[in-house]
Amino acid sequence: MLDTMFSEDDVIFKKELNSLLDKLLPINWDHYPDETDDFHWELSKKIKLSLSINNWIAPSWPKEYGGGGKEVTKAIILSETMAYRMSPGNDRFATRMIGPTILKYGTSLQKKKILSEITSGKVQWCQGYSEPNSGSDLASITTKGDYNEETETITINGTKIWTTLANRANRMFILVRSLPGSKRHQGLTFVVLDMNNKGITVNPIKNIAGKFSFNEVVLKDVKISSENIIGKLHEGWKIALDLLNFERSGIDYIGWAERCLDDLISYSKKNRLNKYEMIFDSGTFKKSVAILKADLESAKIMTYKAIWKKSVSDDIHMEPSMSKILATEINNKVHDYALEILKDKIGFIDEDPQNNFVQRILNHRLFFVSGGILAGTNEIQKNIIAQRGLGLPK
Amino acid sequence: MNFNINETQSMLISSAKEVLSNKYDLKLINKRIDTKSNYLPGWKELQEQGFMGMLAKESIGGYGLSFHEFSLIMEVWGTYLCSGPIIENSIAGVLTLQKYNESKFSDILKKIIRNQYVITTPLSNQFYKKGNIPEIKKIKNKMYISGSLSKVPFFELSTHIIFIAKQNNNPKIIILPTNKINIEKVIFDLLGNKLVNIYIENNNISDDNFIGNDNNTHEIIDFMMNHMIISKCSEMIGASEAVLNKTIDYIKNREQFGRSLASFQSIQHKISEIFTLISETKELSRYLSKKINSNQKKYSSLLKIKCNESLNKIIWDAHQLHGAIGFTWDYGLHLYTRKILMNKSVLGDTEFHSKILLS
Repeated sequence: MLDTMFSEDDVIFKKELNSLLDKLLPINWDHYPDETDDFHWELSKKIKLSLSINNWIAPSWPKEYGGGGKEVTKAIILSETMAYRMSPGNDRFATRMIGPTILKYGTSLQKKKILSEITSGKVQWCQGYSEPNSGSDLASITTKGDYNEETETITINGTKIWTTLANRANRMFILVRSLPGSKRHQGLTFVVLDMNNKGITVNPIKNIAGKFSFNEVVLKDVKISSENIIGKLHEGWKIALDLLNFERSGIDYIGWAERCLDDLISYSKKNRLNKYEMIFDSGTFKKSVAILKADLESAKIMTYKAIWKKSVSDDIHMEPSMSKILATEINNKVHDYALEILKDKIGFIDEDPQNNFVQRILNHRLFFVSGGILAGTNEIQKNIIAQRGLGLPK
Repeated sequence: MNFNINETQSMLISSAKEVLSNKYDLKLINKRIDTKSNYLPGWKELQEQGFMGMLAKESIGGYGLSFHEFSLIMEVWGTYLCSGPIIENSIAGVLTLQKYNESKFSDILKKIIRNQYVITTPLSNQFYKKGNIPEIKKIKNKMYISGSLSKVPFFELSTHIIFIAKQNNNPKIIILPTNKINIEKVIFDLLGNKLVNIYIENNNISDDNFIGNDNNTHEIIDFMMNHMIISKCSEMIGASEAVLNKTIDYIKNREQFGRSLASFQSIQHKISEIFTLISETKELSRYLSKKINSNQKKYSSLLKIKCNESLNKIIWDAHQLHGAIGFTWDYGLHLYTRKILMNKSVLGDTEFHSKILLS
């Protein structure tokens, strides 16, 4: 419905992207992209390389770094479409977190090296923020990054946790406490590292959907050179927060929610509510789906606004927080309603082909528990809106 | 893609605020409900400033504003709980007559702009309830129209009424002077505004009373409804913003347990939720107001559903945050509550629009 927000060129781009995905994804592909699965991972690498050939990995980045040099709308379309198609190969840690951060804070050497590597489609990034016991309190991190002036190196010791795709990634951005004895937001440094460095151990953690999507990462005497510091030594907090604003648009959740809703409508047209009517013909169903659609479209426009605003201005406080809350909540609401419609079929695995749909929705809903928690819980986002946005007291 | 309001639009919003902000008085609106007075805050002020020609082309003396700009003014109108046939006059009147029969209705259009004519319409009730369609009959080469129309707003203020009629079971859109129409019954809405049921008895009409032609009647009805729905939603969003601002003021100044209410996390979270809901609804409304036309019924249905469901939640949350003071008559929060509740069914409730959206 919001398609008219895009230009003719955007529409062509979406069409071409869909054609590419038609060629690369298996027929009737409807799995949530789980790159810990070997098949998905191989598919992810293949898709990344194909995107790279077209300069589509980061369509709005400057051409000199392998980007497409296009408007931000192309990046919106890429993320939303790949989520809708449930395609692996969209490395959000690279293109929506560290990439924009490097573009803003990186040296020209870092830009050339890191951004070009990302757009080559040959790397996978992960995010080293959370730590055991730190919960939502990012400023409480304890992982040490001891700086040695003579050798111009940082030695990292500590443990990061809930690190999505650390078991696949070959690059990580990480926040470390570089100034011994410093408190809270002070004395932190933002660095990038190669996961092949000595001293890194990755321990996969099984999630509630039965997958190993996230990990514990233990760093023991990991040595990196000062070239890997982004921004200035001990001044990483602002960069870390800025990165979160890039992360929080929630655009993927919009794509996943829309796919689920479309599939539910399709299911409702093929399945009966009772012997007299199809599910779709029920007034209650129509009303519920219509409300979800209205919520989805308004959440979508907020995610677009957050991404657009971040691309044109640094003066942005509330939009990423609002769009993150709205996108993750509507995605859960849509899946919850689908589960409500499918409730009699959950819990049984039979040979009915429809059961694939039931199991998929169930697995996705379990997985999407993480949406309201990661990237700063939705409660943290509400604090940001109230305090930084509306000026209520801390 | 651009979400900014441009400089001209900002100035427009500022001037609408300047005209309307000091004119409304919650006590007088309360009194209107009690005494059935004719207090219409904002109406005369906008008329005097020439706002009735907002949507009219500059060539006929109007401001030549876009519908998007009109909807921004409707947000301000809603913020100050203004009252009067602004949507009826501007949409069913100026916008529709200008688009579909400009030369035929040029005299009426000019008189609306000069505040000599005022348009009303019961279209909301006709469209949504599917009832009360007066009938046109031809007797000896003359046409006569008869039938009832219910819940006509601002009838006594209006010089003309635009409504749907039928002729041989085909819908027609008619404009009639109000001076030969009888009032059957007077009723009041939740905010004390007067609505009337009227009866048209064998009024002689001619081709001059028909808007559109045999081929575009449905298109015109959709055009009017789509624009009226988005205008009404903008008004509701403005009212919700006033509720938010009133609530923030209250929690900042109210102390409990030795500290400001605004410092409690549960209160902050509730305010964030209200703010987020209003923001997303407003963005959707502003976007759709740029895109709407006659053939996009689904757009206006989507927005109406969003407003019906979201703004309802906002108002009850605001009451919870206000505590006992919001429960009082004099404080006036109930006026916004009434406005938002009332508008849930005006121009179609969620069930009605769900069917359109999923058709």
